[in-house]
Amino acid sequence: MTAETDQQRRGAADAAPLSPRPGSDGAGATDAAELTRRDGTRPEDDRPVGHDGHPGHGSPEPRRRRLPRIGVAQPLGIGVVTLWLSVIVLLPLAALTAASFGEGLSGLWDAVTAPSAIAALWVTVLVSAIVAVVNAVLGTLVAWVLVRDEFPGKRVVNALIDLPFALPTIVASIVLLSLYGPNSPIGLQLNATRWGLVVALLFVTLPFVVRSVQPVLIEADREVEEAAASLGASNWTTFRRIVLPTLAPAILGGTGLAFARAIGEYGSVVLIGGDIPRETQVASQYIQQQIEIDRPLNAAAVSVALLAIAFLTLLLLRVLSSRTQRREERDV
Amino acid sequence: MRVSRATRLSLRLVALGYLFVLLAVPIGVILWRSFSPGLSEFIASVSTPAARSAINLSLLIVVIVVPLNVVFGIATALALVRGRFRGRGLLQAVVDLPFAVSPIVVGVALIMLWGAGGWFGALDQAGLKVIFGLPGMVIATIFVTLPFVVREVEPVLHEIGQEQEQAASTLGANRWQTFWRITLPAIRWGLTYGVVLTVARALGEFGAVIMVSSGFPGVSQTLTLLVHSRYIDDHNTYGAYAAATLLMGIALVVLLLMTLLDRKRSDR
Repeated sequence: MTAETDQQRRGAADAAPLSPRPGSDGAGATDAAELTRRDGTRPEDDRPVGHDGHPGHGSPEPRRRRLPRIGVAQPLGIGVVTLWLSVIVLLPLAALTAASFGEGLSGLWDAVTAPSAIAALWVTVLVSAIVAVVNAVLGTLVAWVLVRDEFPGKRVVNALIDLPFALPTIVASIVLLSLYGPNSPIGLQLNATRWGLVVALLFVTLPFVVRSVQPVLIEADREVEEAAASLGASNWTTFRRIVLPTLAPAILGGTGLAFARAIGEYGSVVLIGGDIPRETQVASQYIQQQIEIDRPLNAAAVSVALLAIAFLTLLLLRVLSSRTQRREERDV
Repeated sequence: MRVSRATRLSLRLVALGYLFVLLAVPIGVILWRSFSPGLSEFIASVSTPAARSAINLSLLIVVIVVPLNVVFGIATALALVRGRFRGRGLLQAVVDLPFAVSPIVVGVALIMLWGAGGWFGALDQAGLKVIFGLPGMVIATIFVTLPFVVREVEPVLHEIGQEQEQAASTLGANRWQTFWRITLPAIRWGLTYGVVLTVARALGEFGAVIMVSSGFPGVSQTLTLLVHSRYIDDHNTYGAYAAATLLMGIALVVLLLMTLLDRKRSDR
């Protein structure tokens, strides 16, 4: 790098503010964008290399002084943010984990494997698994109808999908009780049954699969489907061999999130579930009960187990999605 | 895929039927049950002293939580996007953590930290009641709403880059001027979207709040706790329906705002 080009680039940096939208057009502006990247202050920049084809080695040190860092991305700001996140999120979870080990590893194991705790965890996982599978099938179907079908009122239906996210969970519980609870107007009594749990969890997890499949389906290349059809593939074959593989990562992602949400759900099942031990008592209700009868160790231990299941699910999802991404990159 | 008319109609029927049974019918039933005794009955039920104090408490929590989330949310997003430091990936993961934690577990964790027997139990003994007091409910709400502002502001910050801010600072603007005149206007729609999500979740949070609230009617009951206690403790089913309908009205307004803001955001 010669001193001359360095000089030019400094000049460009000073000139950049004069152009109305730096980085949009003009040689000086492009160069300024380049500078920013060399400076290392922009984490990802997928712009092509500047028109003058500078090799990617600048002399970043003097520039860091020339272009000061902006806002809170300085040691003090980072310190404050770290402190805030620690006090709000990390310390409580650390205290919880420590409490679960209050009587050592065997104490934790005993608390998690106590018959009623195991039963609650089992009900939770079983019901959440059913909910995840139903979501995978019907969520994909709903997404398909919302993307590929045309019917009056489609936009209203589309907006309605987000309602379970906007609705407080306790309201979801009351809403479902008014239909499926005692003195149900249709005579269908799901109160205090496992089916009641399933319906409540289906209600609150509805948007996950629909909203993750929808954009993929919009982007999907329909020519491939038509090619398959013109080569004589039946609809079912086309769906199985062409559409489903494209949608699979999105379906899996949405299903995983729905499962993770269902595992920890409390508000929507608290009224309709009935809280019957070994029957409809889910893990979150068990934890709440243990706090109420002053058994903090049991509550902390099952909380940690619940956290572990949720983290494992999310970790598995991340591994699977990065694997499909890698496979796609290889195919390209 | 060319689907025959019959297949298409039957798929549509199944999808809409599912949504109808799961969403539309229950909501229709609760609206009918809330309003069939008459509007005056509904208003009377949501303006009893206990209901009024629950509404006030819910709003008070929102008023405390939103500014804190805005300030620290923007700071966190800036640190994540602009910062170059060790442990940035870890910070990213911590921001997402509240989404993965069950509300009840949030409550238990806060009790283990701030409760009388917890790590910060000395505060409790010194007379500052966090658990079973307003501070506990506020902290629980902050925990569950923490990711919203960060996650809505972060992509916008990525997108706008730093050129304009650097231009401003080379023209002699100080940090605050740059922030107020350049950064804040650029992120305003993302920020607004994050705030709407925060408000909705703060008003609707139940599991985490019930764990750390003493739940006395008229004192420490939020609107969601009121719905629960009316149904469970008072066997006042109509009152629970009415309070839930009020919350549902708020949720519908939020949904409308979200749809409008989403359009505005993508216009950028």
